[in-house]
Amino acid sequence: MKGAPEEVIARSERLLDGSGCEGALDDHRRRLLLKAAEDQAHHGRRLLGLARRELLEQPAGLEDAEQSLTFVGLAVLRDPPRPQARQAVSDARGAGVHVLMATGDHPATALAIAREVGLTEDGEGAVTRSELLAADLDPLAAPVYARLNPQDKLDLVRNLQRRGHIVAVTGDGVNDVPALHQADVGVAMGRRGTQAAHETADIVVTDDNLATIVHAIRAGRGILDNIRKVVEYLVAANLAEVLVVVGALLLFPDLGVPLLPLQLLWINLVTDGLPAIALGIDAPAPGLMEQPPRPREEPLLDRRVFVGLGGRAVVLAGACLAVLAVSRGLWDEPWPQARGLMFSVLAMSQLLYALALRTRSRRDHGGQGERDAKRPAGTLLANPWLLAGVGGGLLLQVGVSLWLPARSLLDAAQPSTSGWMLVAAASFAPALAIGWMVTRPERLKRPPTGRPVQ
Amino acid sequence: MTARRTLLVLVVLGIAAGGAIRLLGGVRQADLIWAATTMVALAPLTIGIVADLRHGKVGVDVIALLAMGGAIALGEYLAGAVIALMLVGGQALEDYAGARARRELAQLVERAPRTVHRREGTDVVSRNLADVSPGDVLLVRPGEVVPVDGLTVTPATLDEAALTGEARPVDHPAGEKVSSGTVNAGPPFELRATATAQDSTYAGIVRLVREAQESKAPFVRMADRYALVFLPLTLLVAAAAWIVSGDPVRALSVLVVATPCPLILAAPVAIVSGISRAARWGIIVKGGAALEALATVRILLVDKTGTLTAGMPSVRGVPRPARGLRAQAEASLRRRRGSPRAPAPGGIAGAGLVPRVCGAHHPCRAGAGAPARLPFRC
Repeated sequence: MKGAPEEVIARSERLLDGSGCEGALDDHRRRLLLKAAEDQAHHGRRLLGLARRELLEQPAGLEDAEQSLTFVGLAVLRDPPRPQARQAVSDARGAGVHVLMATGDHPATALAIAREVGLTEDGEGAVTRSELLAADLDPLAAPVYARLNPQDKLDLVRNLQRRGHIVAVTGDGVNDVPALHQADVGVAMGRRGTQAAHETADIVVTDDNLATIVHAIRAGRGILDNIRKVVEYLVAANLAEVLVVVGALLLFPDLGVPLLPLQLLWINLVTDGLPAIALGIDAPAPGLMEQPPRPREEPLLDRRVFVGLGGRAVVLAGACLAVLAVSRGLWDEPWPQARGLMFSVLAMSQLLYALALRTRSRRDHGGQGERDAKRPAGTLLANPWLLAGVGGGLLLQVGVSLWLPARSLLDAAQPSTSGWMLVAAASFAPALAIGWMVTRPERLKRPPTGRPVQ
Repeated sequence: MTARRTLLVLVVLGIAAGGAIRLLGGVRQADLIWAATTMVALAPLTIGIVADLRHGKVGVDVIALLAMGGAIALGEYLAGAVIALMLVGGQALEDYAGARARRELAQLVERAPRTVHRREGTDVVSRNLADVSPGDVLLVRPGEVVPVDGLTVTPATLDEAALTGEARPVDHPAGEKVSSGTVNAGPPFELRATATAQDSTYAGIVRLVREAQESKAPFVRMADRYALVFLPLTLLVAAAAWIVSGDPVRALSVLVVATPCPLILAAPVAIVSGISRAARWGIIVKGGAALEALATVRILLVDKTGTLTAGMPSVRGVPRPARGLRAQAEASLRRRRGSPRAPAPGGIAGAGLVPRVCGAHHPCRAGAGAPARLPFRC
């Protein structure tokens, strides 16, 4: 039979020695064997005690059979840490993510591995099942939990969640399914994982590697960051359109509609289509993993951000209304001509705003991240879609002014030379102003934190 | 093709056809086509909104509805058609994002057997899985999934990896309990059902997975979260613009600006792109909600074996007292196999255990290791 060394040794009365002969197992030898087992466990090795017994007849029950054994030896298994594990643990910590280990193994084995991957320092202990159950312990007090059964693991996850933490759990067996289900993010192992674990988990890591899980966290943060950029772009741009419609009504109440519905739709197609999508598919910004996780309750856009976006919308709309004022008031152009000029400015200034926004985001996070020598993630070249979207949009907008069928359909203007200069100036000015506004350090930035919280 | 994709194609074709006719000079005809295009998208949207209203939900879709309706009423037919395009395109993208998440569950359900082979007298008859009742004797052919929980009537060898992760097939003598969802890895065997399919293990797993997927909130559209503020504000501004100017086109302009199509479009694309980016790193993500949650993770609870460690223990050495035994075991194995390089006796023999003797009473099984007898003399 095989089993935990303490148990097997306690049930053994005899000992098989090196020459294959049996001898008596006295208390002194028992202590020596237990000591040897303990020493091995401290080196991060897994132990199985092995024993045998020859039975001449069927024993009455299992308990009866597992008595008077002959101790055969210890099988010492060492499961070395993965080479990338140490770096992954440190990456996760740098990103403000606590890494806890939960295992059914012997505490000494668990601690040894934990030390090797940098999860614990020398001298730190592990929490066992009984300690976890005994006290209303803060689960973050210790990073290693040993001798846990599946129910304990589930309880641990619930305990962490009750304290307001968002918990990701890894697992591979059917016994992990409850914890995977309870977790905010269940992570199943692709190779070792059972079908049930795969199905329950929210994500499956195909190479069973902790470093890949940390990559997944980076991907999640990248997406949230991208969505935030998209929303910042679209909210400010569309708010500017509303301000133009309302502002023109207040400034020139006796004139017609400042922007035709079709013109607005055209602007939305050109500016909100490819550029917005390009912002959404940007690669994760370098430095994303050097910040603490976003708090659970923090909305994507808080009041501060909204105020900032309102300011940007005012700048964008101001440029348009200025064009209207100059061409109508100063140059005394006919209303459709003045309106056509403003139409171009509204589209072009929004496109340039997208560029300013991405530059800001890169500077905001600017730190060490994944680096690609040819296309560093920090430069605009790393996102060809955005360049294509913005460049193509600008060309389309110019084309509308030059090509007669499109011009008549959209009621656009064919600007004079001075008109073109006005359009160019009014389009670049707000993007530059916003670029200046948002790169000032105190604006629209999340609190700079290099170190993990707690 | 799904209904939504059909709708998208119709709208694109409508706008293109109208544009072509307009270029050829048919202004009236083009407007007519664009109006029809708008109506094609407007009809399902209206039905959806009415259904939502019955459940007490009001979404930002209402703005799109008003914008399209207003465009038709004011004769801005192309504008209406373009709004329809943005709305339908966004929905199609969202479908695409959601389909990835559901594919996994579909595979699991597909794997479940639909028919069974039931022994009825001397015949074996194919029956529906739902018709199985406890006590039925079923025949499970090689490679088939065990359809219901039961007791083996004849010995069986099962691949239980789906349930336990154990890669090695497990032998079950007659009369043992086996679970549905395991795969017959040996010859055909007979099974006496102890549960209906509904109450069996496999159905339980499918149920668990379905619950797990449904209990996690699907990706909530960004715009919908702000709908409560956004919707009344937009309607107010639109109404004010109309009243102050006396021109309904201004109200339409406000509605067009506020139509949240761009948000509906960009967010699913960001999510799908993140999902495919993650896939390149070897991470399969089931839906955008998981990715969103990942970004906010504060605690990562890992298991040790196989995550922090390689999970593949190997024999590194044998303690001194057992060395003599190991040499004996290896020698004995080589003799038996007649091969100079017999398979490694493994850690168990190395550690001093006497392996089981292979013979008539203890048949050898593949993967169970090479047995050896050691000559003890005490």
